[in-house]
Order: sequence, then C-alpha cells, then structure tokens
Amino acid sequence: MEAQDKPTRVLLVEDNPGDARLIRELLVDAPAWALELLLADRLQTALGLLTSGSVSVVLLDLGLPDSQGLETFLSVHACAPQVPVIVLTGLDDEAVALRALHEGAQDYLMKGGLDSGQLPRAIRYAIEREQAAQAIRENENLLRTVVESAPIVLFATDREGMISLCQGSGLGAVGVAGGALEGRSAFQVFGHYPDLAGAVRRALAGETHAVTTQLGDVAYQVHVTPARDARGLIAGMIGVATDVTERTNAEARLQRTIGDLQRKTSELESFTYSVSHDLKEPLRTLEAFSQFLLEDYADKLDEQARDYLERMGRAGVRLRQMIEELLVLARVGQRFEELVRVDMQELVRNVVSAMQVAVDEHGVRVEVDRDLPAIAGNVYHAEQIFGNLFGNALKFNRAAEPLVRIGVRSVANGRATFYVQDNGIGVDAEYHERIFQVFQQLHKREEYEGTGAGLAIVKRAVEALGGTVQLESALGQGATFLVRLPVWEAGRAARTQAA
Amino acid sequence: MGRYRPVQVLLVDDSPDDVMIAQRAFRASRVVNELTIARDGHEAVELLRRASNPPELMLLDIKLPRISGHDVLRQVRADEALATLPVIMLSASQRQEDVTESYRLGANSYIQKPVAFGRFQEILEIFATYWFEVATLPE
Repeated sequence: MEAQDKPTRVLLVEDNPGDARLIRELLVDAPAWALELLLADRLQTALGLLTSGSVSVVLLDLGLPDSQGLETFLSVHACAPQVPVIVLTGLDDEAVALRALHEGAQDYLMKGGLDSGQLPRAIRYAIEREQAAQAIRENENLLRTVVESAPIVLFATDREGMISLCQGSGLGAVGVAGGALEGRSAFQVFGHYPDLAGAVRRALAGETHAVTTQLGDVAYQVHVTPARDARGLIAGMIGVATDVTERTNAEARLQRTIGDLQRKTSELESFTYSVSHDLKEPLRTLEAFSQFLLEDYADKLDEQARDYLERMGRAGVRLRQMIEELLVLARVGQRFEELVRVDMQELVRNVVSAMQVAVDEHGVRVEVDRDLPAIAGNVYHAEQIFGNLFGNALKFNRAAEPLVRIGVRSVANGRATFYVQDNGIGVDAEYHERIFQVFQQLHKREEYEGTGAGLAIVKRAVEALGGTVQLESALGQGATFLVRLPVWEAGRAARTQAA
Repeated sequence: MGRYRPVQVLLVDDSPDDVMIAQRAFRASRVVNELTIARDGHEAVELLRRASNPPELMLLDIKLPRISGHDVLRQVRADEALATLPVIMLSASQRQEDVTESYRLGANSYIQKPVAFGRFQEILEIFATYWFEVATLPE
C-alpha cells in the first residue's frame, strides 16, 4: 500500500562494496516494487541520511569503519527509533544480532544466505511490523493519556488480586501517584476499606457490581467486573472508580433541602391550623353576643338595627365557613403515611347520598359508572375530592335538566382518570388555573353561596394522594373535572397488610 | 324541666365571654344546677379541695393560664378524694392529640365548644340529660 504512495527508501549501511553490490542486485530484481536504495558506508553518513530523509527501512551491517557491533545498532535506533532496522550479519556474530533484536531491531539476516525472494520479503515484513507496532504504541499512548487524565481511577488485578494497573487523575484526590500501587496486593492496599476489598473479591469470584465508598474526603463509586481470558476463565478483575463526591454532596444538600421544606410545610400547616383555630374563639363570642342582642333587645331594636345585626351575623357565618375550610385545607395538605384500598364505587355512592337533599331540591339527575376502580389512598382525601367536586357540580348548575355524571375515563400505567361532569354554567378557559386557588370566586356572592375554598381543597387532596386534577370546560358548556389517582394494586395490598 | 337532682357544677374557663355564654346556655337549656366558676387551674383545684359544698362535676377547659386543663385533670386524678369526680373537658380544640390526651389522663368525656350558640345549647341539653338523668354520680 505504501508502495503506491511513495517509493520505499531502503538505506543500506554497508562498507563492503561486494556485499553492497550483491544486495543492490537482489533488490533490483524485486518485482513491481518502487524501491529507492540509499547507500552509506559509514555510521556517520547513515545517521546523516536518517535525520534528513524519509527512510523506510535500514539494512544495517554492524561492522563499520567508525562503529562496531551492537553500538552500531544502538546509534541507528536512537537516531530514528520509528524506522525499522534489519541487521545484516555474518556467521560469526549471530549472538550480537540477537541482542540487537532484543534492543528493538525488527529482524536479522545472514549475509551468506540472502536471495531475491527472501530479502524483499524481509524488508516488507519489517516495515509492516514496525507500522503495526507503531499503531499499537499510538493506541497505548492515547489510552494512557485518556486514563491518566480522566477524573477516574482505573485499576486491574490478576486472579490473585495483585494490582497490574492503577492509573487515572482521580488518584490525585487521594494523594496517590499513577502506577504507584502496581505490583502490590489489592487486599493489602484496600485493607482499611472493606467495601473496596470486598468488591475486588466479588469481582474475582465472577460478579459484576458497584459499591460507593468514602476514601478520606472523596466519595468513589466503584464498578468492578471480572476480566476473563480467551477460554472464559477469570484471569483477574477490572475496576473503574469515579469520583462522586460532588454528586454525593449535592444529593445530601438536596435531601437536607427537602427535609427543611417538609418541616416548613408541616410547620406552616400546623400554624394555619392553630391560627384558624384561635380565630374561631373571638368569632364564637361575636356570634353569641349578637344573637343575645337580637334575643334580649328585640323590642328595642328598629328595622335598621336588626338589619345591621343580621348583616354582622351573616358575615360571622361566612367567616366561620372560611375558617373551617382553612382548617380542612391545612389538614388535607398532610399526607397519610399509609395508603389503603379505597373502594371508589362505595365512596362515590356515599358522597352522592350525603348530598341527596340538594340533589332532590335541584332535581338533578346523577349518573355513576358501575366499574370505578379502587384507588390507593385514604377515604378522607377521596371524600374531600369527590365531595367538593360533586357539590360544585350541583351548585353551579342552572340547566333546565341538570345532569351530573361521575365515572372513570381510562386506567393506564397504574393511574385511573376519574371524571366529574356536569352540564352547568362552565368555566371560561381564562380561569382554569385560578379557580384552584383558595378563596377565588368567579361569581357575585348573591349568585352562588360558598367561600371559594372547595377547589383549593380538591387540589391539595389530589396532590396529597400523588395525583393530578384538571378541568375541561368552556363558559356555558358545562364542566368536566378530571382527577388522576393511583389505582390500588394487589401487590401493594399484601405489603400494606403485612406492615 | 327541672326534674334533675340539683348537681353542683364547676366550670373552669378563663374567658369571661365564654363563661357568660356557658351560663346563658345553661339557663336556656333549663339546666337549673348551680354553676360555680373558676377562672384558672389553681382556683379550680383549691375550690374542689376546700369548698364546703364541693362540686360534683367539673367542666374543664384545656387552654388555661398558669396550669393547663390537662394538669388540673392530672392533679384531680392523683388526689384520692377527687379521683372519681366526673370531669368533662370543654374545649375549642379539635386536635386529636388534645382529645386523646384528655381521655388518657382520665377525662370522662370531651365536648368541643361549638361555634354557634344554638348548637352549644343543644349539646348542653344532651349533656344534662346524660349526666344528671342517666348517669349515676358518686355520692
């Protein structure tokens, strides 16, 4: 392949003109090979040609006027380490040639036995081998550079646990130089880190796994895997340790933040609870005494005074409702530790029958699907959700034939999508988000009674059960609330009952 | 009605408004029993121990100045002479912890103060029927 790009330049270093001529003739006969022969009869000349020209291969006689024996090879090799050298030798110095081979020569040939088939082949092989060796060296260098500079530690042991490789810039974090641990026993080196020693032992037993371990200030995640030989037998193990200190710290920070938030939320809920509670006390007094005033001084109060008092009374009732709902809101935000099976068919039946009076009063037709799946949650939250949605469906309905439908639209991925649908006044898309905020009302108080906490309670209760709620509606088009909740699964039943 | 045996009732509540409301509710429900008022826990315990005509039933608020209703209850139950005194907690608290703690300390009943006066009156009537008519009080 190289022959097609540029001619192979063979540098023949030979001081014996007879030998030089012979070799030239052998090479000239070589078929279809663009070959350029350079000749040097001294080492100095050879070194000069090596440094200036692009020599592909050197044919080197070790006995030269200005250099003898192995020294000759060493000088040439040092001058151009990447150029393959074939040593030409006589019968008497094969031992030197073998030493040259050991020092990096590609081959050696007996001058006496050269022929036109063998010499070109030897040259080709030498060049190919050198190129292959160079590619391997380059790969090795690349790999080493990667390993040494990667923020990891790569280590390998033999089957006895002797460390054969331990590299990577991750070592710096624990103050170990690259390669410093090579040749030592992993069990001894990791003696103080039983996790790590255990991981090596398990890998040598054929297991691939990962451990996270703390070395000083540094947290490592260590993946170990057995290394197998060509027959599939365990020949050792390979481990990759990644510095996960940042991640571990970030996780710890996140956990702390979550803990803080949970505590604050819980504090806030308990605060809301006790504030709402304390607010009820003076309210009780206000309500009681305005009632006493009405009762005891009825004959002394004129129409206007009674109207004022009644207004105060209504405001009191309203305030009490709001406080009660704040209390529910505070309580509904608290998650229950244990999820139980809630029979939705029964729950919806109860919700509807609890409001039977209102249903009859407004002449509402109520249709409930027969195949409602059980959910994983608790009755308290589920009642808050469906009670409020059903109550709204009744309340915000002025249709000639009011209809409320409750059912399940789909069950997928462990979640059921329930719907509560009415043919009532509907909600403009503009308000689909806002209606879930507490004490948000879209209507004048005289039109529809209530405080506007119902949907806020629904949203909180749904969230406490790990679900979502969403509204499909347009003004005058009725409203469909979609509630997605986790369905009860049999496996969960066993676990909860066991607990 | 007035058919009950007259029973001395001690009401322990620090709020003058609440005391007035309770008195009115007692009157309105025609519970004719004499109502003695203590404004805090110390006063209540003193009254129970020293009164010549000691109360036979106590209505006890939880949130009281100085010593809480629960502490009063604890002292009462630890006192041999008062251990059997019927104690009915009368509190605005809906907290489950408060309810549980009251029963744990030996309360006989727990009434949550209703917000609406009308409801308070109804509850007092039920209460009176039970405690003054159905239940047998210790002599």
